[in-house]
Amino acid sequence: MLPELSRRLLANWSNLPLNRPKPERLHFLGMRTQVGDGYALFFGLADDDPQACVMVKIARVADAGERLRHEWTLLGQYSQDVRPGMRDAVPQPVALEEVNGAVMTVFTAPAGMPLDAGAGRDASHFNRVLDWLIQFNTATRVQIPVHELARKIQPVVAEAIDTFELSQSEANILEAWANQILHGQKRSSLDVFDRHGNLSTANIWLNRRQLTVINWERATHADLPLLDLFSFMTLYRFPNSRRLPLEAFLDLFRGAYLAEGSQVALVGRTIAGYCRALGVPLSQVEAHFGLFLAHSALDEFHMLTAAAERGYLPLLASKKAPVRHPYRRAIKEQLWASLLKLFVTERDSFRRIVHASIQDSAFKRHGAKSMSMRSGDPVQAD
Amino acid sequence: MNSSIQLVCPDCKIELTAHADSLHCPQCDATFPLREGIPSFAKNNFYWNEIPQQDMQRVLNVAESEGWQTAVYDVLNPSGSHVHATVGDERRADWKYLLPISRESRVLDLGCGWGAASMALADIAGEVVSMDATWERVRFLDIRSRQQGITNIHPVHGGDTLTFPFPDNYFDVVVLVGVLEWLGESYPDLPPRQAQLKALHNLRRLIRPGGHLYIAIENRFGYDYLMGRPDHNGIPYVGLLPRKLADWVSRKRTGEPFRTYQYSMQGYRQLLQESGFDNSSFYGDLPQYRHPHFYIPISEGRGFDYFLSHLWHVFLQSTPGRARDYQTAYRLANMGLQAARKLKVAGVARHVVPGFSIIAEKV
Repeated sequence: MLPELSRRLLANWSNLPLNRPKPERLHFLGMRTQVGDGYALFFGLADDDPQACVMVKIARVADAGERLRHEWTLLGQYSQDVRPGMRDAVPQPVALEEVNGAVMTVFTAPAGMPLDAGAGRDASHFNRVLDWLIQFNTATRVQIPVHELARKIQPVVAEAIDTFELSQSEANILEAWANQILHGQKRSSLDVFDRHGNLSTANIWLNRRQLTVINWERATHADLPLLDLFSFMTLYRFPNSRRLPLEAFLDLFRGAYLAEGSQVALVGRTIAGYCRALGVPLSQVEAHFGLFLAHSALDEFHMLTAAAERGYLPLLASKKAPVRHPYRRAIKEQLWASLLKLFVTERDSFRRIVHASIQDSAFKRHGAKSMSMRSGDPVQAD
Repeated sequence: MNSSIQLVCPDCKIELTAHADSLHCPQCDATFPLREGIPSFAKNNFYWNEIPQQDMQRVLNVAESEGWQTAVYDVLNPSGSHVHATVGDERRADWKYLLPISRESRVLDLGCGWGAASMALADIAGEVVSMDATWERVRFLDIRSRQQGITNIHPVHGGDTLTFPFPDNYFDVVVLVGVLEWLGESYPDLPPRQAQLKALHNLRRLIRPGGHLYIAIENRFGYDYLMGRPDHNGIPYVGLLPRKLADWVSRKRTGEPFRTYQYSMQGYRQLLQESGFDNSSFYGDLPQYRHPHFYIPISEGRGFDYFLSHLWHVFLQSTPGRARDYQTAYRLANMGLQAARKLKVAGVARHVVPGFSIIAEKV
């Protein structure tokens, strides 16, 4: 299929937004994608260039093809947007082709290297990504009526409760979080933002001058403001290898969000700064965090289910036996579902520690009068 | 048996006639059984697999009664082994996109094993013929493809003799993943290289003019071999030795001759040219060809330089298990690479990639 794509690109080269004379040949370098991504990834290099000029995605299955088309359209819009955080931070669309019935999208190759490899996870990189995220959110901010947002949130909550077989008290907590976000501000419309949907460190490429965020196929319009932030903050702390025992990830999570320690101040400061920039009430941080975990758990569940149907499940972190179909149950008991349940159980710690840190951070910046956090605000569970 | 593929007598090349439980050659009168509906041309009762035959039988029983997924995820993989990745990870076959395969293509996956590549190929090819000498693996693929409703995979039991039940010029692509080094075993009376050449000649006949052969195989001088990874006969460094010396060491250590020849990039190119294939393109498969994370074009262009400057760290991080298994090798390789980059000779590292994907054209 790549030979055919290559032929088409070369035939149409002068019309493509690539700042390079037409090459004789394109060479393709394949890089393995994550389980459940649903597409294969190749970098295209022209002739004897030492840099890739394009990034090619090939859909393995029909629904991945739809996601690739969605990404193509979205980045087509972003690449017209000159505001900070938009066209300069995303790959430019080059071509959308259908070869042999499979959707293939071609984008400009990102500069630099992935954040999680080589660029390094240091504070300056962390801050660069946060700055970009605030710019991106600011550029995509819109207001939608509460009932419209409810149509997005409530099915997620219901599905999470059902899929992960949450108890009545756990279900009440999730529903209360949704209500708090929808009705806590007593407004008829709320600010929502575009969401990348998969803001892992592998999807952020950096060099000294440029930051490029790739893989937008799971992006959504008009979504909750803190999901990308929490996703990035959490994944930034996790090692790449998912072969660690589940408990190791739970400990990392506890260390960041649920236990006293040096990391909590940084977490609090980051969340406070972000909420301030986007006008998100600090009192809703816990609710947003809970829904972020519900989202992530469902994403993981759907990804593993699809992967199992296709023939491959990565090693499962939690495999409970003996039940009739242990793998079907194990799929529901993986990392993000476990984090969701942990957070529901230990949300008091989050409230006490992270909210206190947020409050402290906000006090230091604005003084007590501007605080929007109310101590009696947190959700009651039972 | 599905009638959309044509089967001929391996010896006479006359089309076989189908009976209820066998196929019959009208010319030489040879009969080939249909086992569970699968044509069987194997002459030996051969079993090679990642798991013992007894365990495999259980996998088959569960696959038939409870579904192939339960068999793989709950029976095959209770201890967290990696066999299930070999069985089903379609990403292992992303090389398929490098080939000119379309819905009109007919592909032979020779030595298909559990069928991961066949399943991946079935998504983009017209017909996939999946052949393996181990009956149980062919049977598993048959069960799985039937349960998934895939109708363009045709399992065939055989391949142990390298006389094939297909017409000449029949396939657009023939796939050999981890097979070429073993082809020498099919003609024990011939020297290994001669045996491989003969086998490649036989395979070439099956490919239409302009069609392609895909080979995935180790590099004789791959860095993991250089760092002491045992060869196919279990002896480290033996493949690096001159062939006669390697044979002497192998006989001394195992009592068996050394016949699983592997080659360098140049060696494979020469072997293919002598077999009537040309225009060979080489990709470096990292960390290994069986579970590649990267396919790096190394015979043309500067993909390898791009890999070293942009993706090397991704590679190191994406293979923690292998890095752990070959800690010293990785450390040394990393140090060597740093030094080579400073001396601006890092490109030579392409010659020590552990495995190759090779695409060659029948001219």
